[in-house]
This record gives sequence, structure tokens and C-alpha cells, in this order.
Amino acid sequence: MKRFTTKQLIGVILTGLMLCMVSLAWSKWTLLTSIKEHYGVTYDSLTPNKIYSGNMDDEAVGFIVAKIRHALEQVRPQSPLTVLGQCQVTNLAATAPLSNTEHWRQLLFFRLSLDDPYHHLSYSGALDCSIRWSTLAGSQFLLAVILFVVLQYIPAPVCQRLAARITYWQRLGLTREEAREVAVANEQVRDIIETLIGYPPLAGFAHSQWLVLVKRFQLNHLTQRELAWLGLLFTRFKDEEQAFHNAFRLPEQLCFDAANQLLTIKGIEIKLTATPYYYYLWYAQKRMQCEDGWVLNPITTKADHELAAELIDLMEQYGGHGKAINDLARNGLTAKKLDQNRNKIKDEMIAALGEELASPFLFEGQREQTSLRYLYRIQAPKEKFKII
Amino acid sequence: MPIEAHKITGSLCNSPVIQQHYGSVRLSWQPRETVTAVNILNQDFEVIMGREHSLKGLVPHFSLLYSPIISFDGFSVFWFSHQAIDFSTLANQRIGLVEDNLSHTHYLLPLQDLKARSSNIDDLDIHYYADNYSLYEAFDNREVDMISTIAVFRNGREDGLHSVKITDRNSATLFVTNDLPDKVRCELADALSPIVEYLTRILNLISVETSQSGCQ
Repeated sequence: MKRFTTKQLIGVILTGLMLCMVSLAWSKWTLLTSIKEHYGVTYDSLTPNKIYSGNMDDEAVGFIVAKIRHALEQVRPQSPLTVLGQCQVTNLAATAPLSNTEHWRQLLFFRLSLDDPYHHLSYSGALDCSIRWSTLAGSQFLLAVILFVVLQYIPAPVCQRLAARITYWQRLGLTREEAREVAVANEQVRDIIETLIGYPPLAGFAHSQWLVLVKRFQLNHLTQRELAWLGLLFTRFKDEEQAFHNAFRLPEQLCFDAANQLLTIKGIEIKLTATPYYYYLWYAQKRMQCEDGWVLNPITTKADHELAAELIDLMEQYGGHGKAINDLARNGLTAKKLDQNRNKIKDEMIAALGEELASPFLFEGQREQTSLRYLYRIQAPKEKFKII
Repeated sequence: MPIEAHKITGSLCNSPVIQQHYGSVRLSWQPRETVTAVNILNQDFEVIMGREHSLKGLVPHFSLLYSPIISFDGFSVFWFSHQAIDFSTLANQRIGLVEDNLSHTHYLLPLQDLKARSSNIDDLDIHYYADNYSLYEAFDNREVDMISTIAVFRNGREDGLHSVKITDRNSATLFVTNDLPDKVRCELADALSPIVEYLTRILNLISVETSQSGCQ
């Protein structure tokens, strides 16, 4: 059970007070109406007919008023649950006939007003009642609490459009509660969730987590690339929260942990064998070191020993493969060797990330105008790399 | 008028001007047929409400003894009926009047109207009641079809009552004894204002004529 908040408590108290007032007003009005009805029935016996004549020294109207007052004395509401105690009509006096509007106004201010049409008079007086405070407060506050509790369990009424939306989300596989929560979310969030639900790699995603995670990561738009990452990450980790965290919190950065010969991106490990790994690292270093990062392929007919020396240094620094080092030292770096390794890297990257996600980390080439030799570099800019 | 009579007597009793001129204030409920020529000649009452011609009928030189102070002129009297009123079938209508040959509203005016509309009053089915209370009761119980009274009768009764105006020139006047000092007249007129208020309302009057001068 949820705890009461101060706001809810104030709500209950205000509702209780309002119910008290309504109940009190209603009781008085009911009582006044019943007095009026009773008066209507007994009118003939209450108002003697000969008040204009009769040689009276006493005031005739005073006589009638006294008679009516006597009849109304100690008006007592009957119901045991009533909030009113003893009631009395006070200051009853005759007036000129009241119009209907005036009668209503009297009623509104809890005054009794009676018509004496045979004498062209009306009588009007105040209704004073003692109030049973304990019954009043007890019953009405109890009612307020019950109302509050009931309202907690009854779903708020929904408009037709919202109902249609809820049904729509239920059809997409959400439970009624989930559907209702999503249906009231803002349009961007709904768009995102709809995209996520419809994305096949996310088919096994727990539906209850959609809204929670989209809200927690404060997503308000989703690119095709973010969606692809999320799909891949979920497929890899089978964990909704991990997938969201890696997709939206980790930078899209290719991370070389050369000492451990590890290559990761957004927490996904890409398996590369030793030789291609160092080649990839070497290309990455080139990309990071100079502005454009282009590396000129050696001439097909002649191996390049300068570039080979760089690679050998790199491999030796991190304990690379002895055979590969020897080969480079003996034969130098050939264009063929370089092409083979680039192709291996490409194959492994696509295998690990898929073509779409891998593509910025693959190579691009261009032909040098003078020598007609090829230049290669990794497409992604240098911020996309990190070497530990 | 019975309403708030104690207010009137109370304000008179408390008035220093009245206290100077009179020893006491007495409220007397006098049915109109019991006012006699002797009462008027003796000026037994300082204030009388009535119609000038009836009072002159009692004492021809009434205007030498009393003069009007407040006049309620030009209020209307109507025939009221539960059905639409058709004077060509008057003989089939049960007509209710009050048996008081000094009453304009409930006796003289309606009879005069019936006389003008019918060849022979004796042929009509007229029922007489002791007072207007009994008359109204008879009408509400449908013992009679038509009665004559003032417009306020409609108040508090069901809609769909039919009415035809008999006259809009009915009147009533409050008289006070002549030769009263101005300030006493003014005080009396002041004290009588609850009556003016009440009658203005029940007679639907727009204005009431008061004939007094030198009041502040």
C-alpha cells in the first residue's frame, strides 16, 4: 500500500469539510421543504378566516403568526442519522406576499417562508438548528476517506480517443496497465516505443521495461543507428537495462586495449586474430596522428621496409606474433599483405557488428593522381578511436 | 391593513411629537360596517382608511372633518377563472362574491360589471361568501368558477389562471382629522409607511399620492 502524501491528506480533509457543508445545507433544505409541505396540508387549520373583521383590539396577524409559531415549535428531524439536533423557527413575521424568486432566496439562506394566499400575506422566519457535530464530522469524514480509497482503485474515466489508443497498445502486446501508461505518455515517447516494439531484433524485450527505460534514459528521439545498436546490444547481452545503458550512455568509440589484444565498441568485443589486430591498430594510430590519416600502399612490385619497421615496432611493443614479425623483417610490407589484412578486418567487423554499424570503421581508398598507387585509411574520424 | 400594525403604533408611541399631542395610541380593528356617523362626527379616530363616497354617505360634510393624507389610486380588479372567460355564457358560470355591500373589490365592482354584461342579474348563478378567505377557498375548491379580486391573487397559485380586467381605477384612501398641526400630520404620514409599502406591493401600484406639506 502506497503511503499517503500530504497533498492527498489535504484533499481528504477538504473533501470532508465540503461534504460537511453540503450535508448540513441539504439537511436544512430538506427540513424546510418538509415544514412547507406540512404547512400546506394544515393551512386551513392554521389560518383562521375572519382576520379582517371581528372588532378585535389585538392584532389579527400577530394571532396567526403566534399560532403558526406554536405549530412549528420544536421542529425535530426524524432520522436517527441526522446531523441536525433540535430546530426552532425564530423571528417569524408576516410580510407582503413573496414572489417565487423571493421564496427561493429565503430558502437559499435557510429561512422559512410560507404563503398565506387567502390573506395576501407571507410569513418568513429563520430556522435555527443545533448541530450534532460528532455525527456530522464522523459521517462525512468517513465518507471522504471511503471516497478517496474507492477512487484509488477505480480507474479514471477515459475519453474515447484515449480508450482507442489503449486498445491499440494492447494489440501491440502490452498489458492493460502498461498500455494505459504508454497511452498517456507524450507523443515522442509513444513514437519511440512503437518503433522499438516493431524492431525484430528487440522481439524478446520485456514490454514492462519499455516505458521505464525510455523515461529513465530521457529519450525523445531515436536515430536508425541508435536503434541498430540497441538491437545488436540486446541480442548480445539479453539484458534490457544493459542494452539501453550501452546504447545510449557509452560513446560510439572503437577501443583498442593493445596490451590484452582486446577490441571493443559499446561494450561489444570484436574478435580479431593477432596480425589483423595490429594492422588495424596501426591504421587507427595513423588516423589519430595526422590530419587525414591516409596510408600509401607500397608499390605492387616492391615491398616497403619503412612501413614494415613501424609495424614490427608496434608488434614487439605488445608482444605480437613472432612469425609475423619475422616475415615482415625479411620480406618487408607488401601491398598484398596489407590488402589481405584489411579484408580480414572488414570481414570480422561486419561479422561482429553487421554491415550498417561496421561501415564507418571500415577502410576507404583513393588513388594518388601521380603514381596511380592507392591510399587507404579508416573512414571514421580520430575521435572515434581510443587506444589504451 | 393588519400587517405590521404594531410597528405603526410603536413608532407613534415613541414619537415625541405624538407624545406631546396625545395621551395614548390605540389600535382598533373596526369592520367597515361598524363605523357610524357618530364615530365620524365625534372624530373618534384620528386616522381612517376608506372610500370618500361611502364616508360622505354617512356624513355629507365629511371633508370638513377629515382630509386625505395618502391615496392609493388606480389599482386594478380582475375576474379570475380556471377556464377561459366567456361572458356570453355567463348564465352557466358559478360566480363568487363576498356578501359585503361596501366592498368594492368583491361586491360593488363585479356586480356593476355583471350588470353591464348581462340583461338580467337575477338569472345568474351568484354565490355569496362571508369574507374573502371563504371566497378564495371556494374558488380553490372549484365550488365557483369566477371570482373578482386584485392581481396579487395570482401569486402562489397555479399557472393558467385566466383573468379579465374589470377596472383599473379602484382606489382607497387614508384620512386624518382636519386641523392637525403640520408636524403631527407629517409624523402620522411617516408612521403609516408600512401600510404604504404593503399596499403598494399587493396592489401593484407604481406610485402612491401623499398629500402633505411642510414635512422634512
